[in-house]
Amino acid sequence: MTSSTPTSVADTDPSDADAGPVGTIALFGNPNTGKTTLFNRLTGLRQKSANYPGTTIEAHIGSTTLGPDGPTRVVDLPGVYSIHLQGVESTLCRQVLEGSAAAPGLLAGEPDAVCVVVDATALREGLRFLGEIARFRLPIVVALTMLDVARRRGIEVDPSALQERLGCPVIGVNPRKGDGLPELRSALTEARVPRTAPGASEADVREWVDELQERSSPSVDLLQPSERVSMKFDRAFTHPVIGLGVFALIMTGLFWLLFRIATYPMDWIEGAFAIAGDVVGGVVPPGLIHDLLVGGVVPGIAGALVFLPQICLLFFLLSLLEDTGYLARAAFVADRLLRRFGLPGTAFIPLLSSHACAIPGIIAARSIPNRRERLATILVAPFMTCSARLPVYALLVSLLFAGRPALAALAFVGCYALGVVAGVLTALLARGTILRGPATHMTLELPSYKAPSVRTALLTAYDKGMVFLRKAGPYILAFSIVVWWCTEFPRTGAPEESQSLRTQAAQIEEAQPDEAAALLVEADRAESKHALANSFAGRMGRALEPVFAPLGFDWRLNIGVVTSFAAREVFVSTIAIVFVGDEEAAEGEGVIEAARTATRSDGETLVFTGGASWALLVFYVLAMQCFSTLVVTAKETGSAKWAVLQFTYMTAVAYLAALAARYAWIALS
Amino acid sequence: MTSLLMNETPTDSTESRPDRVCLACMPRGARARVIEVEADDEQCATLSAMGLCIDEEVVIHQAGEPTIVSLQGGRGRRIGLSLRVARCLHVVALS
Repeated sequence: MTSSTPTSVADTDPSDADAGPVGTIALFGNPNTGKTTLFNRLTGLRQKSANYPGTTIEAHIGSTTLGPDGPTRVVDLPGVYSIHLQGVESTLCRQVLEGSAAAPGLLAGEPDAVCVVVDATALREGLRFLGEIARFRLPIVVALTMLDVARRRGIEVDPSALQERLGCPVIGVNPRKGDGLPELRSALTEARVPRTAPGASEADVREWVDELQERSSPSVDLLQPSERVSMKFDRAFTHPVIGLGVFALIMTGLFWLLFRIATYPMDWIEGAFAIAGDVVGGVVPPGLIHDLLVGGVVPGIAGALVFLPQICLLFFLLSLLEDTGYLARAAFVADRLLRRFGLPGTAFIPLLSSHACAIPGIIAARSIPNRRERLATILVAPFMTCSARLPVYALLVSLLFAGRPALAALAFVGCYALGVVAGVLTALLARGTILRGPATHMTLELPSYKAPSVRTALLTAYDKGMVFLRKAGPYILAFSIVVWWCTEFPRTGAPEESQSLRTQAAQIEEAQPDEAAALLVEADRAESKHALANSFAGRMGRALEPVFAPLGFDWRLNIGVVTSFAAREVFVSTIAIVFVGDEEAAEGEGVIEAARTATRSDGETLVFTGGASWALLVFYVLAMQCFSTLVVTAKETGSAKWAVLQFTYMTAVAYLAALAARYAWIALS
Repeated sequence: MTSLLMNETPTDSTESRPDRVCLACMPRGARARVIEVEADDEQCATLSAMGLCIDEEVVIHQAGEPTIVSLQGGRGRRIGLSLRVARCLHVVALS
């Protein structure tokens, strides 16, 4: 294109543009161009994530040193194909260029410079996107990525020819290896307004793009053999049978690794906090502060941190998988399975992640572009059996199928299946009613296959872990303190039973020290049971008796239901306190034995009858018993109403299903 | 040539072409040129931004569900399309 080309909005002399050090650089680019890898290369760990005000779009802000003038801020914008699409990501990109939106903590205003990342293998689309940004007349540097892949495909791109025509720096970079990074840093201090930009019409854009492409990438060689191999992989990975097999294999491997590896750091965290609790308990003098720290704060922090290994590992593995290019192909396989329930293929990863913990699953739903489909995925994600449910399943299945391991295993599988079925049916219901709308039919770029970047995966894991801690951590801690308070207050005196045991222990202490010690343990347990029974949690348990009586729940089970709202696994430790009087009994067989023989107030009827145990099991499979997940739902949807709906709906479904389970058991037995 | 909105009366220039077929009907290995996109505005814009616009030359690597095409005559971006989307794209076969 010449300077007189009518497609140019404004041709300016490059010398007119401001050059020199800049304060904020905004990174723009199409998806899969290596933009985020480049951002990670530029900023390293000097980055943080936060949502753009009023949106659920995450802003990644980091700093980098470009020259002697100190650090420069770098903002990574979401990858979009066009800034003129209707999606929130495109709108946000547009607003940032207009200066009407700013990343959290920054003042609104146009960025000082823009770095547009263009994939050399998709030069036309990259140039089209560059043209949209060039119209804003901001200083630009073009980072040309994937030059090596382009070469393999027989495409030669000449950055200097492009630079000459555009009038702004064009630098070839390889973010994965770091090649071209020094040149890019240097160029970012000399960003310039392009001397040319396309007009608004489609014909103008095409002409502008054609002219630039002709100048910079005139020659096209024959297709290389490596590309033919990758096409064969495409066919295999998206095949209805082979693709499904590969998909099942990879996902099973991923979750095997996740559960296998994450167990170790989770155990270490729990062990470290058990020691920390002992240390704090030994240092702080007995009293309210002591009890608060040992019973509320330390377990609360542990309760938040214990999820961190699973979340970080999950996102580390997913990032590696995504980087290989496989996930885009897998989305088409998942699409065949989920489409009939109104969910897109991209919902598969959030739903699969929710089997570890619903919180990262809900956060992962950000990858679903259609808002209604994203909401439906978020609403159903907590139906998937998370790892916090497993101790509850283990307890109840042990009670129901004592000495019958095959049936116990089958019941476990049934719990997982029930969660999945409830989830997909709920999605179908939601997409047919409150989230009715046209389904998005998959159109996905299939990025080149490549070796994954461990560095990018580590940074992603770190970033997602921090997002979880910031979003859910304070609430988990706060709710842990509230639960502690409910189980500790109001404080009551020691019951007669324990006083009597202590008196007996004192009488035989010298003659029979072992028996005396055993009596004192019994006295402690009696006091714990008494304290919990008379606490606010105990009172709530009694107050809820009319509500849960149809399910066959005793008031003591109701205490477990109330306290496990902090985290489902708390149910087991609460049952240990209620029936044994010792929280540590939750680790062993003691709680199962105590629960099996525990009787109701009449002294005859068992607490865990078959009907009540089945009802409790079904209730825990389906109920929204997780405060942290509700908080994350509210944050990710941008409204508390979805969290309220999620809680109400899941609790209602769980209640009715538990009722049906109990009466089915009664009828069958 | 322009993209057509769904339910809009097609122009003669595209619909009257005897060699006009939908992308979903093209066999694997075929080369084709996109002549019409029959979808709503947003989908047209998305496809166009991804590179699947009028006059784009594509190579079909996989037919069916999903349909996989390469842009720029087989050397550009590779895109996977559900069958429903592939049916919205009308092409003419190239020799």
